[in-house]
Amino acid sequence: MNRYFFYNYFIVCFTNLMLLIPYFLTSDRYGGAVISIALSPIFGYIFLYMFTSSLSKFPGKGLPEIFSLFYPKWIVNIVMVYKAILIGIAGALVISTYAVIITSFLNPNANQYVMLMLLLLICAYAATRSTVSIAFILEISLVLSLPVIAFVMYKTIKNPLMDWDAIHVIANHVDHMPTLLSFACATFVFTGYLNMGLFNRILPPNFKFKYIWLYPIIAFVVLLITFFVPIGIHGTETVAHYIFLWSATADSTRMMYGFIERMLFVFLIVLINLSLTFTMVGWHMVIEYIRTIIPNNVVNPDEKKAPIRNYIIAGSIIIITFVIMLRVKDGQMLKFSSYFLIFRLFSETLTTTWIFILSRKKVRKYEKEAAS
Amino acid sequence: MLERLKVILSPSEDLIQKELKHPINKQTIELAFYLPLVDEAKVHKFITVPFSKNEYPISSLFQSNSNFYIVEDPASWVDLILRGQALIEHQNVIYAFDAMHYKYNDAPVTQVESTIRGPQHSISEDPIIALNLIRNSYMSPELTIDQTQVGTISQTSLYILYDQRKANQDTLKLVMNKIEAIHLDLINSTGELERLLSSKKYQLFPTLLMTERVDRISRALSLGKIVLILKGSQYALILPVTFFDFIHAVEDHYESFWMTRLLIVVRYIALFITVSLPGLYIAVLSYNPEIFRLQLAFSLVASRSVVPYPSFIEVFIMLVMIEMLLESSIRIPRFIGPASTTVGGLILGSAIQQAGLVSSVMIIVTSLMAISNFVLPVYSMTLAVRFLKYPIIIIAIFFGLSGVCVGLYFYIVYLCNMRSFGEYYFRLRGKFTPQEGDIGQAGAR
Repeated sequence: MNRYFFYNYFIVCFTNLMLLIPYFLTSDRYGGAVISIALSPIFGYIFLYMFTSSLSKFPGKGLPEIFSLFYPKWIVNIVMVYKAILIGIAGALVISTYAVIITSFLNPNANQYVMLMLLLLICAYAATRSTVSIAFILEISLVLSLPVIAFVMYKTIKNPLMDWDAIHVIANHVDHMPTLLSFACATFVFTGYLNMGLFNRILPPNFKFKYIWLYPIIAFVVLLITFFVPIGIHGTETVAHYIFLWSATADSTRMMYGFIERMLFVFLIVLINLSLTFTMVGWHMVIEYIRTIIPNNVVNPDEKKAPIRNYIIAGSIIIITFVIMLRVKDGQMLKFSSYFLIFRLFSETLTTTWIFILSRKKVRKYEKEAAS
Repeated sequence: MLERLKVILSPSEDLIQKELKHPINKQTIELAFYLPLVDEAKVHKFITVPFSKNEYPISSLFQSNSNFYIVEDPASWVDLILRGQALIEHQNVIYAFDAMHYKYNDAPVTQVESTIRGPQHSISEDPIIALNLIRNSYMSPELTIDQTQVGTISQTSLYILYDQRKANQDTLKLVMNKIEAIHLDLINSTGELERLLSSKKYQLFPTLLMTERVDRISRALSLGKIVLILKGSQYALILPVTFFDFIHAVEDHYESFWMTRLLIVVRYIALFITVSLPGLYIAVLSYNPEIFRLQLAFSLVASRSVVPYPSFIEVFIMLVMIEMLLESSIRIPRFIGPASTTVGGLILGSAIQQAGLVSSVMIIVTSLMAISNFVLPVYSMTLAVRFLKYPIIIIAIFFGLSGVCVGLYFYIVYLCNMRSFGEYYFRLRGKFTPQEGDIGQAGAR
């Protein structure tokens, strides 16, 4: 059942790499971007290890249950609302970014907000399903999209326009100090393990995390590709001109023999799948976390029917996201994303260490009990 | 003997166990056989009638008639009784009487799920014949057959078959409760039963598999599933099922490995085509013709140049036509059937294209869609999938390509959320080791 961890880890990795992360990284390409990328897998691995090892001390428990083992109800509520807001913002950013991409690349004459509403509705519907169903949807959509992503990346690398000198030039800027934003961006790719804070509920009681050393390595390779390949294709200067870097990169690749000639459309279709899934998982976590606040809440990973409270929470997520997106312009969204990424870096550091300390506490408690 | 058989064989409705007592000479015989497996007339003629007439001592009949032979070993009882022998005990001697009767010749030929090289017979509307075929193909003492009546007026017998050791008890309880909860005057077909048993009223996909094939039924039994057989209906219901069972034809076990794997892939492609092609046609031609390479986009648009209205009206015209064709070919008497499809399909299709009402590409799209719909091997899934393209068309009209993607995504979500009698309906099985456990087992805490 380790594959469910795999899916959770890589949905975060791939979705964000296709959207805004490359833009922030390449805008800092002469500064600390390269060293941040080089350092991020180490950072990512340490935190992945801390989080998974602590979770394996609490079999079958999600974050809300773990916190309520140690703290009174009101502290748990505050922590959960805080986590939910953070995750919800990540999902909302991804889906609204994708709505912008659709209206700029696929349907220029469509209304951006109508498009956004459609995406929000389908995500909210999917997010209200039970946790087990979410795991299955995640699996299906990743199994369908991973081969295509691999194909897109392969074709882009084999592009004749690819200029390796540009990559060398950028790679030589490894001697700068990492900046906060680029480091936050690079580490965000490695934070898929946080989804396990909820999905630990559905894992079997004797579950063991295996091969966790492999995950950061794969993610690191993907991160390298997504950072360096656009630089090789667009050149060192032009690369900063694009906001949706990978869409532009996919559009500069041609399939000689397919009846779809431009790679862009293949890429967009995969990306819609990934963004919807990422947002669905995120919002499902929001729903589950918020539900722990409501009194007499029953935790059941495999509900037969979604309760009304799910729909209410999902509806309020939609409304909040939509209203915020109505007020925000594209430039502000970029700024906001960067602030969010930096904030998230500290927040996740805190959460992971906290859980780690709690798990050690639990172990010590058992040792005391065993000794007495 | 009867007590011992009760221990060995699972309790089943069709297992006849009698103790006959003669009023005059006070002799008793014990008799046991499976009702569907034996020829009852033969049993009467050789055992019960001579015993009741008492023309000469029954033991001498047993010893003199070559149809009877003495069974020494109690371990072979199960084997014999499952092979259609009647077991008789008289004065502590066990005889077996060969009354076996295969009813293959009484069974009709398959109408819907025909195979080339598999068995050609389907189960019959007569439940006894059906049970005979199933008992003959699934010879296990664990096979249990329960019987209830459904329908307050029709009182139709319903047989519930399952392998006692393999079937999931929770599922069984659930099914029994659902059957008891049925309140309807008349029940005439398994389709009705299927709608009554499925959990929700507005379901897009079937959660029970309707089949007429004996080999499918026996395979399902061996996998621990439950089979329902209704009197007077040629179809059995199998539950619980997964989505993949509907994509899977029985023939996949009979033909070569590689070709059947390829065929399964082809079926999935057909499923994708039949659901999304009309929607994609609208999305590509009305929103993003630049998706395809230039020559292809030009030829697509050029074929539409004569058509005076937008693409979705064209799609609706053709879809209404094809649905009417399919429906009419089912309804009209059989000997006119080919004529209607020929007239409708060929002549109308070419005429409508020449008249410039519909583009030639649309004709191709429609026929491809109709053909690929019937690639799916199970009819109930075919029907379910036939409906699925309409929502996709509607969403494609308003949102184009991204609308089609969102629609397909909705179907995936819907499928993953479905459960068939507590089983996960749509999930990739993957590698599963019992030591590791499965997800969702931790349950509520």
